[in-house]
Amino acid sequence: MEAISDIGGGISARKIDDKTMILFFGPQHPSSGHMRIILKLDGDVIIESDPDIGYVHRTMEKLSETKEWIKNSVLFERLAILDAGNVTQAYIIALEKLLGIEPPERALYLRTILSEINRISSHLYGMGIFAIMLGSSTGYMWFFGDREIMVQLAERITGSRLTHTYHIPGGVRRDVSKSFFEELEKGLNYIEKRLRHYEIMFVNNPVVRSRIENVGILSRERAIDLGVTGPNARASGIDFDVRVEEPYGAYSFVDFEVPVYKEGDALARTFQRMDEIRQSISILRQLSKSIPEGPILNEKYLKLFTPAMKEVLEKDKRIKFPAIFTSLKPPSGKAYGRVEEGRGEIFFYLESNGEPKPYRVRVVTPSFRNSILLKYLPVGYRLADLPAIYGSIDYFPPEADR
Amino acid sequence: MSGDSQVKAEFFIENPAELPSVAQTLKEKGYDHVISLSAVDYPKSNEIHLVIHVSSYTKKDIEPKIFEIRVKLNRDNPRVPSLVKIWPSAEFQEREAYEMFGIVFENHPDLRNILLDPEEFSGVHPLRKDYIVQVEDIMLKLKEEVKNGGNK
Repeated sequence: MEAISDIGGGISARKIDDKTMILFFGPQHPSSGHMRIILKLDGDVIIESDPDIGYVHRTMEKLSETKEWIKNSVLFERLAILDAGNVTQAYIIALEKLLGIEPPERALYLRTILSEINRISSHLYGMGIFAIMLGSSTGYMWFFGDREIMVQLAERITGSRLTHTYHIPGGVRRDVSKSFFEELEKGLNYIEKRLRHYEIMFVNNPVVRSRIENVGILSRERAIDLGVTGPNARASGIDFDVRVEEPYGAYSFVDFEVPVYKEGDALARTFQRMDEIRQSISILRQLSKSIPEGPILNEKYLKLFTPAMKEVLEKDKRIKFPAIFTSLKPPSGKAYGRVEEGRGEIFFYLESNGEPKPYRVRVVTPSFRNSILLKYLPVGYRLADLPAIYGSIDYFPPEADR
Repeated sequence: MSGDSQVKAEFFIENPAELPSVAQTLKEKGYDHVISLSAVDYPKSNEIHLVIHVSSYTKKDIEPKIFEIRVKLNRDNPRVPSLVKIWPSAEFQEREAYEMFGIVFENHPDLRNILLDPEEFSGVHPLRKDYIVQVEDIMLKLKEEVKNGGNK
């Protein structure tokens, strides 16, 4: 950085050469949340890009050390409320490893159903923001309007639209009724039909296409070096998906493909998300056909239920927490949990010293891992390409800042 | 459940200077990117452990899927060579460990705060155990309790 000189009256200025202009992109909500990029421009070509993130840092790793294990699941789902099911699942998987407990099969299926519903709604949200960044209001309205269906389906399972708090150690909090699967099928049919409309009206719209094709090209080698994750990595030819590499939930019971593109540009990243929605639809159909009957919480905890709690479970099909949940004390040790979120891999590392509160929780979110792209990807492109690049990597500041 | 394998999944380094050579060996084995780079503070033994989790995109059959490297650092002056040359994916996470724990990564190309305000948090490292979160809910707490620091 250049020297800052005081030019009197408390005003300071920074001397730059005549050719370079420094432009602040943000921090007042440039698109998907508060963050800024400090750009150095030569004419309108970006020659340096410095993402300045942290405007919505909520000290989650520190806060988690002051809360009981179970309360932290409520804290962490606020990392990315539009993908809350997947976030909580990663935390709960790690916690279950520490506790040495496994959920029954029906709970695994229900978790995976919520995961895939969340994935579709996260992709629709990402594409909606992307559309408005490119100035396509129709795309924005369509994606956000259609996302509502997925949000309502999630509400039917969990009882809340966004912050589900659905996963609990050893199972899930609520069961679903048979009629849910009919509604799910209706919703999926609708989204499937709409995917064709999106392609015609948004992706293959000549105006949109000319702005995203061959823009923000990320090569496979560079994506590996920068540790890029999720759909961004797969659109650059990296065939990697946590659902396949380390299957969790009910993914080992279903048959699905991992779409991969090799172009690595903003267009490939858009097609990538569309294809992933298609796969999610297929996964959801398979799961709703094969979901087994049975308990939704591990036997070990069900045994602790009082008659009143059993009655609620019978009548309303929901779990009232056994008292042990408020003072869970996992034995000393460490464990990790990883889950393929809509935006990529989320990673939790927990360390316990046998106390009711965690000793250390480390969480790495896909947006934080992808934020490095904002430094390296825009360089060499024009300023007008920045919204296309930023939008196509589906960067979500609250998730990155944690 | 995945993750618990019989293969040795971690490596403990006593001397921070050895980290680059260990990292280089792992990279040659196929661990091509960093998932997480952070630290855990142990004030009782005056240590900070740098904890790095690496994984592979290119080698499908690699075991374990996630390898953990732990480096013992002196809590009074935690210094360690930067890994950005070996794993460029560590760049932002090293900046985070620098601001949160005060770990200095030697030869990092751009070592400065990433999430926290550099003025307010100069010399203060919030993820260390001796940093106490100030409780602000004065409506529920007596002033004395707030003065005494609130929750740890």
